[in-house]
Amino acid sequence: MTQEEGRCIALEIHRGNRGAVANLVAAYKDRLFTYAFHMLGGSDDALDVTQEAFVKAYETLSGKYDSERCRTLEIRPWLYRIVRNLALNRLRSRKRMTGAVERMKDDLQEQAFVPQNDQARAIRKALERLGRESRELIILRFIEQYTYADIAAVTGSSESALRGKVYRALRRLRKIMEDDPSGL
Amino acid sequence: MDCNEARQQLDQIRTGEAYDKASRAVVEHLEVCAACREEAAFMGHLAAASPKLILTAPAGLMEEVMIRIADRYDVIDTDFGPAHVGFTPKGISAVKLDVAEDGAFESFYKDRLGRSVVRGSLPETYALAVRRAIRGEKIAQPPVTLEGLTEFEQTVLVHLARIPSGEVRPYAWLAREVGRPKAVRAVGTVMARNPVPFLVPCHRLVPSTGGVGNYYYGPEMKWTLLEREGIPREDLANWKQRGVRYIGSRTTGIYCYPTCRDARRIKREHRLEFSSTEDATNGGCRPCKNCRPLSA
Ligand SMILES: [Zn+2]
Repeated sequence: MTQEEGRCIALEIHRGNRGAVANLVAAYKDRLFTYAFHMLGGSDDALDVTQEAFVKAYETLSGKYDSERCRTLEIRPWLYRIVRNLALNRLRSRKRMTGAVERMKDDLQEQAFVPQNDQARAIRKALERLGRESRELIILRFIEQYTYADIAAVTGSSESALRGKVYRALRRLRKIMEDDPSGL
Repeated sequence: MDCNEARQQLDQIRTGEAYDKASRAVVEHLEVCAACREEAAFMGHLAAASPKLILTAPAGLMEEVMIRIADRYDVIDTDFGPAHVGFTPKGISAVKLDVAEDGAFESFYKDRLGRSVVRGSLPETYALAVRRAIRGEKIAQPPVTLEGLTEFEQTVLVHLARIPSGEVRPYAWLAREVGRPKAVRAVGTVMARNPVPFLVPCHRLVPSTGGVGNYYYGPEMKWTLLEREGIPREDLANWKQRGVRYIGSRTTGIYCYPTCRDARRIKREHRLEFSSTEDATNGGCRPCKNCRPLSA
């Protein structure tokens, strides 16, 4: 979806077109789910958060934003920000409830969500051992193919800070994969 | 350039995001540094393999989202009995009294607005607005949404909403206001099908000849609503009986529809009564700018 198409769809949703919501869901559901999955480390929460994000997007575009705001909205980073905030909230309340430190859950191994491709499987395995922040950066940069400007818009970090962070995340990921003989 | 510096830029050089003097230095560094070449190769592999990591969202996600963004309705008690109230994030989309059977509101809603509606819980501010409108109390900005209606219906209802509480206008007046003076009958149809009665005040539209005319819930309810807004039944009946359609002022030389707030201020001894706009013009009066009895 181009930036222009994104704005059209935002405006259509603003006008109350439910079909435009369906188009938005179709265009982004897999990518947002993937992002949420890696933020939260599990499919149940990821599904909840992705659904909630679309509902929130609908309510905001149709009820809160005026047409001017919708006309100028960059919908892709905006959607990712919604998912990100919902996911971080969930992580916080999870932490409060269990007192546990951040960790990936066992259901990462759920068969349905394990990549079929060997290389992809190796990356996924390594990602699971990466910290939440590094993992998020790798997802945004390599899976979503975001520019540093896009990542900055989603996460709120500056581009120059991101250069260092992405670099360190890559170094760690590479280390993990090199220590694992089934890696790249 | 050292390896640390080079590697912080490698990733953006890979995608072509950065290309300047500094990146030329990185490229030169790569030529002499095997370790950084390996790092670049790793990024390349990672980038190539990453699209395969995109997961497929579970089936049912789309359906669940569509259900959760569906319009909602709730049933509230009002002075006129239980009212079904439909709403969206934009506002109230429908108000209906006398819903007799299960499912009747849902099918009415689908027919009228083209969308499905499911049970939900009405925000308190919306419930208050409906109750107030039915009690004949003023509402500054009725929280309604007209989405799903035709452009003509929306235009007519938007103009209708501008008639102040406690005043009435003829159907022909509204047709003129929306720039379709011949579409009086069409305006009447919009009133009969108004999905948000009370809030968008179709009860404030009456025949040119006086009285209250038709109403979806019967003329008696229309009389009651207007009375609650402060228009005495006797006045309307009296003007109709005597053929009074306009009231003018001897002192200002302005004439109005009889319920216009300006007309009500005219003292009895200064009051002129007219049966037509010609009458008023001949009597030396100009049309009021508030109620616009002669709007083009
Ligand atoms: Zn007037």
